[in-house]
Amino acid sequence: MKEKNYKNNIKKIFIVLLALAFLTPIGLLTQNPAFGEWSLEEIRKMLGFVPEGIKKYADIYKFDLFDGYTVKFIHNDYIGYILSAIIGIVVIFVLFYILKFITAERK
Amino acid sequence: MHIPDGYLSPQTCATFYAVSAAAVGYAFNKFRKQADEKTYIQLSVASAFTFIVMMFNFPVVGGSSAHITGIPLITFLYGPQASIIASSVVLIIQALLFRDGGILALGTNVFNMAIAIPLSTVFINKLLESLNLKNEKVRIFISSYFSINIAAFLTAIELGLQPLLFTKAGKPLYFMYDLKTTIPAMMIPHFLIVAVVEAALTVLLYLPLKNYATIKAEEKEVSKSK
Repeated sequence: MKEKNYKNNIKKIFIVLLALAFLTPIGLLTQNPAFGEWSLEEIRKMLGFVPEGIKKYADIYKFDLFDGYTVKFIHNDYIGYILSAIIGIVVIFVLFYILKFITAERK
Repeated sequence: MHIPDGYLSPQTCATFYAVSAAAVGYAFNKFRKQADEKTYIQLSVASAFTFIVMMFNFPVVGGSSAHITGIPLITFLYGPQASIIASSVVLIIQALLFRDGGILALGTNVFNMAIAIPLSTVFINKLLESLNLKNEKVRIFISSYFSINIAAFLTAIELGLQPLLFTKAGKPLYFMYDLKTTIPAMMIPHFLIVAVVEAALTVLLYLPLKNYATIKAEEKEVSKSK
């Protein structure tokens, strides 16, 4: 009985997560950048220059397929945001699935 | 609160990488010993929840925006070790896939959010318990509220120290505003809005979700004794 409850709970959780994923574009309604999370252009506008170290390290990591919760080939921010949410969730589940196997072997 | 690359000096980044790696490693080792198949699924659920909650940005005072983390909630549901692992994974994915928070700054971001929030939540809750505060909801509210403010304060200190420590010819090398700016800019919105929303959500969701969180020690005992 407990096992069945558990499976049902997992199913419910997936439905909730998926529903939340489709609601995430609400998070795009504000255009304000968070304090201390500005882009190079925003810093240049505020200071008139970009500090040397920021210029040097800002783009040290190049992977930008899903930059800022957009999807590179999809030009609609809302759809990109929802897809990013779903991709993130899938990656999380896959990652922990792999982690489970790695640690099981070590036991 | 997700610090991008370039805002922190390499020295700062290296220090926090070392501290965070040790803490997450310790938490994972402890977690692994009592984990079974189900706990990994619960870890994924906690992680996915935290990830998605962080996507809901809302405007706050001072023309800025913020989001809650969901980390206090998963800490109450699954315990500090699981919470540290789940939220670290979220921050790693945010940095690697979505460039939300830097790669060099990842150790610092993990420390501020994935380590400081779970630990301070548990610590404050224990403290209140020992002070004989019997009302669980009040304890949850206060500990979630302060844990978020602690994370915001750590971020403000790390950013605000950069221009005091690292300059070249009078110009900042990395982050440009010092503590006089970063502390009010981080603390006012978190103190007044973000932490209140986080704490309220934690109180509201904890009791209804408690039944789903089957990672709890008692149930593990039951399944083991079978």
